[in-house]
Amino acid sequence: MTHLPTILILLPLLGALAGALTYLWPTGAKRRSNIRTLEHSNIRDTIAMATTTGSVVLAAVLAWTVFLSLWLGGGAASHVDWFTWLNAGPWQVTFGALTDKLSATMYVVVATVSACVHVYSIGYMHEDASRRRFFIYLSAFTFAMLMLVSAPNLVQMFLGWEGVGVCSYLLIGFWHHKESANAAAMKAFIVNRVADAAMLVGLFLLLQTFGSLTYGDIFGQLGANTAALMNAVTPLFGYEVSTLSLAALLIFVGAMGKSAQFGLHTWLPDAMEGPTPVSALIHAATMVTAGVFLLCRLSPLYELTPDVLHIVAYVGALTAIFAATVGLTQTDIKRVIAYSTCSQLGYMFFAIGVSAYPAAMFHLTTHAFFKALLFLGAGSVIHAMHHEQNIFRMGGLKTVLPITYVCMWLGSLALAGIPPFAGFFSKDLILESAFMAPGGWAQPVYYVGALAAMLTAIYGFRIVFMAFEGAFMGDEKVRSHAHESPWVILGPMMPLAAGAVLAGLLLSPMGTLEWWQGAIVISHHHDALHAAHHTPAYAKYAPLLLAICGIAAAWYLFAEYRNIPRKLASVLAIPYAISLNKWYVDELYDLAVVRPTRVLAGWLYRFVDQEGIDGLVNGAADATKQAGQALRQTQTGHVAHYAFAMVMALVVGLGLLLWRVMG
Amino acid sequence: MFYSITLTHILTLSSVLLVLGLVGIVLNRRNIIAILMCLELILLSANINLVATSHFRADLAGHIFTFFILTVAAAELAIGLAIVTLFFRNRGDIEIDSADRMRG
Amino acid sequence: MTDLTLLFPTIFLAVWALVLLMYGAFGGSARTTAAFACFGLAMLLVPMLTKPAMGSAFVLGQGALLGFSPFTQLAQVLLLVLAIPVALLAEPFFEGRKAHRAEIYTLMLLSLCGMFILTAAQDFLPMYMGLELMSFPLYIMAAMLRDRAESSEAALKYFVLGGLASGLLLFGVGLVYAATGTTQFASLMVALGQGGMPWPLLSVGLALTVLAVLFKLSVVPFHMWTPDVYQGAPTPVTAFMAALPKLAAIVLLVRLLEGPLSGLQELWQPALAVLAAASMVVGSVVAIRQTDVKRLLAWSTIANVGFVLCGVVAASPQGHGGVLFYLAVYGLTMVGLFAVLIELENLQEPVTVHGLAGLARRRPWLATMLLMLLFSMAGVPPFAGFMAKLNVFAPLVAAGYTWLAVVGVMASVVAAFYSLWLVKTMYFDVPSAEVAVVAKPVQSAQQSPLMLVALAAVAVVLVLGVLPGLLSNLTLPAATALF
Repeated sequence: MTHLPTILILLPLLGALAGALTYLWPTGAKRRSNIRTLEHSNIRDTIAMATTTGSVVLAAVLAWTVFLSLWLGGGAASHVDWFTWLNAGPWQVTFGALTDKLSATMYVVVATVSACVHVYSIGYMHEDASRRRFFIYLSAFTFAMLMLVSAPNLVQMFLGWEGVGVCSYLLIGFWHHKESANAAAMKAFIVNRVADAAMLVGLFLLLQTFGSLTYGDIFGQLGANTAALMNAVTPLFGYEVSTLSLAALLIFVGAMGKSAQFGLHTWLPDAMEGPTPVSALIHAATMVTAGVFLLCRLSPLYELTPDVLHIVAYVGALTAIFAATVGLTQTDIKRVIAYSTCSQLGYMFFAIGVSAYPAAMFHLTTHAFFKALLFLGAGSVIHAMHHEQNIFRMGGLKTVLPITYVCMWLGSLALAGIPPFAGFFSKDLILESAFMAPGGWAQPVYYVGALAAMLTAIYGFRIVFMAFEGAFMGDEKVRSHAHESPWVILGPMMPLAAGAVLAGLLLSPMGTLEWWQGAIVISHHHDALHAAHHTPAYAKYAPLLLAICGIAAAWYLFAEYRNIPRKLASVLAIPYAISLNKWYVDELYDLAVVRPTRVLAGWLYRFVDQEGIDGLVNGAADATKQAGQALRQTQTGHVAHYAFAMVMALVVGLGLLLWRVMG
Repeated sequence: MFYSITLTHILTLSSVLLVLGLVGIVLNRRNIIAILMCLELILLSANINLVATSHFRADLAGHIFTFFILTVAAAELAIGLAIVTLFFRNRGDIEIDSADRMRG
Repeated sequence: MTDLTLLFPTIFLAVWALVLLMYGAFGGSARTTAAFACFGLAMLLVPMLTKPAMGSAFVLGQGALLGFSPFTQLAQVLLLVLAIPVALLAEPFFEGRKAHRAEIYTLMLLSLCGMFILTAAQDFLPMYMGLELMSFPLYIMAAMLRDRAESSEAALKYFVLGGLASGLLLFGVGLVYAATGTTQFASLMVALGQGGMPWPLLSVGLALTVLAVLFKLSVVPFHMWTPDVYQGAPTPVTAFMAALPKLAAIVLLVRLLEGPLSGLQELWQPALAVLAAASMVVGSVVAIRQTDVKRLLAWSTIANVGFVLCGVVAASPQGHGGVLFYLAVYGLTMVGLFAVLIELENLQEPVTVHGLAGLARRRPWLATMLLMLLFSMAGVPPFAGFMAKLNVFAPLVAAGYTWLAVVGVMASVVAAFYSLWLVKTMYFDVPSAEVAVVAKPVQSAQQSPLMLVALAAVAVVLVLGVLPGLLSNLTLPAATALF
């Protein structure tokens, strides 16, 4: 039992390795022609798909076992040490698996969604010649993500963190023959690098302060000498900054990158260049929630830094409303869902900001189900429409894709927060906590969130209605070929659909602090979660009403009277342009960062690098080579010369020695 | 009538022998056998050191050490001569300066 | 009475060497001798690992002739572990040249026996005996290819300069004896422990003894024999010389410096720092101008000895632990490299830098293994070579020798150049026409232990790179026991 977590973490790795081993399979005749045809790689592809999918499905089963035994079986949190990786005197890094409610929840989310996505991909990637690589990347990603969540220390966590980053990069750029996919992959990687740089500094700061990066050590010290640690300061640009706050803020910046919060979100919509299953797994359900998970994991730290929590709340609220407004006007079905993800992540962060970590984790879990469902549904549509992603070229698909249609409805209802679907419970809890946060400081956040909830309902149902209702707006030829997806694609959507419907009801104990059994810590000074029980009725039901209005509006605008939005857009030209152009963030970065950097880089390259540094380096290299040649010539091959060198060295050495000893 | 001989005298003698041996190795450009003799000379100078000290300090360790050195030196010389023989077979001479195929 | 279990490994090696000699003399084939030799070495590992014996043997007066500390013990285990793959290299090399003789294994075991004595020596007498017992078989093995002029030239050079070094050692011992009346390390430590500078006679004597060790280590300026001997000697013998005597000699050096000479740290520390810097710089700078791969590796050895000396200069448990770690990793990398080189020689590939051009296309597996081992040599993470360098430079900085660490890092940049240069040649250069004709076709996969040795080296280098704790958890306590 204690080794179940270890096994479930390693399973995807083994699957990926086994899949990778098929590349060693002698390829025989294939080598002569570089053209890889499907028949040649069929068996190897099948093996790779079987090992990866099988291992991840098994991991999902084990994850549920671990989770249920912790929850219902009354099991206790466990901690298994694997091995000591670094032993640098007082500082040790021991790899292992820490399995408490927090990581067990993540196991379930990661492994379940990953298993569904693996099965789904068998159908979705059917025609892709290099699908073997795809499955290996997927499994490798799953392993890295499990490493991240199971880590008992921040070093292992960071390894997983970078591991998922690399896999995300590889999968976004999976279709590397597409220029845009390469660019998107690079963008994701670089934006995350910026965030990770901040995070690394934060980790170093923690290491310096606590002498350890193990959660247990850090939390123990936080509990033991709270006052001293809270008063610790770090000099920064001539000011003295609270060390804890600085570290917490820097780690939050890292989390902002991974979780696509406003400012560092620009990579997420572009990441939709990857295959749709990737978007479902990585850019909706798992990797992008790593930041939320990390902040929950570090709740004892963040509870001591209320100032940082305020920042987290505001950033989250800003992201929620920003992404919701942008989602209203995008035309690419996947981009809309991507902005929706961004917005929902904003909700999770402002839940953390008001110390409602359980609500954030609850929303993370329900969101994983319904957002993965939405993506897979979108994938099913895209698959049926021969890679058409523009919702303005769809319409009336409900007769062609009835099952997908139902799934999209369920997912969107859950997203909009309509009871009894999953999103309702978690989103409501977040909004109530914000409303009731002690001192009322977070009430603006509540209003922003409630407004965003309405927008969510509008854009969520906008894609449903545009794609499935009304008249078909695209190419007739495409429509005549469109067909409902096979069951290998629809099948994996079923468990997710069930999750989107039921997860909120069944998992509602997650919304309480007690359920987490100490994996999450909330200071009683700002226990918004507890206060949320006493939310006044108007605050409680307002978001729901807004959401229903949103759905109604969406029906009116996008199913019934489709010409109204166009008129609206021309009337509200400026807001429309802002939304359509994503608040011009990309343009701003281009102007403020990318272009100046390029100009500077070009200048540096031409004048400093080519003329200055290259000259120096080449000069040094040439000098070294010439020194080598000169020294080489002293090696004459004559024994007498060698002996002479020894004796001379001896004489000089003894001379120096005697001078030292006698002088 | 005679100066009494002290350890210092003997150490001086042995040092002279050492330098002779070293100079022999460094300056000899022709015969490998001469180099072997120079090596023996160096060992001899070390032996003189040890024996003399042993005598003056009335300590047996130096004598014992010397016997070991003599034995090892015999083995060393045997190996040396074998290598010289091999060298001669391959090259047809035993001039030390012709051993310069490998250099640089 | 001396507890003979202490001496069991040493005695066993000597006896086993003689058994092998008898077996060969009475008609045993060289192949079976090889098997017996490896079997004996592997068997010896069992008692050494399970029943490590500590203590002193042949106690006389204040000290003893031999002493077995954890440091010595670990060094001997490492020597043994390195000796087994080296012994495996001999057969495929000599068989191909019709020069496989049973004696080579006797010589290897005797040399190893000498190293065991050397690492345990507590007196100048066993130190001298161990040094010579280690060296004489090396002279003979260098000449093992009897009809190749380079081989006998290498043996001759090694012999003359080695004889000179041991002559100087003996003269130094004589001076020390004259000055203090003892040849024991323990008594010497007492005599030196009075404080203050030692009188000139004694200091000259001590310097000469240390010089002999530095010669065996090929520290600049006592390095000049190394390239010629490495190039001329048969390749398995070169592997033996590169991997084992360095380890034995450095153990002796550390035990001398931290034992009797520990009071004179202010004298030897700066001197060794200068020599280490010289070795690192000269070794790596000259290596980049080499064309013969074996000769290049010889210069790289000189540079690597410089890196190792950095750990000695640090004069701390971490430093000396790093020294053992470095030499174990370095020895293994060398053995792996030479295994690949022997395979290339057997395949009639030219073992010159330019001859390696296009190797990746002709023999992808060999090229991959060379690549990994060279990366380790260059100190690229995640290979063990990186950890090894880190383990000597970090204590060096802690000891206040930052300048030396800076020199070391700069030298390792140069060293990385030639490693990566070889990699570039293998992977990106186009081979000249005659190479393509001469080399045997790809299919000639031979039944030989060479690939096994190379693979094992690659595996260990990778594992130790990721989990350095496996080895450093052994070396650090062993080195701590020195103090």
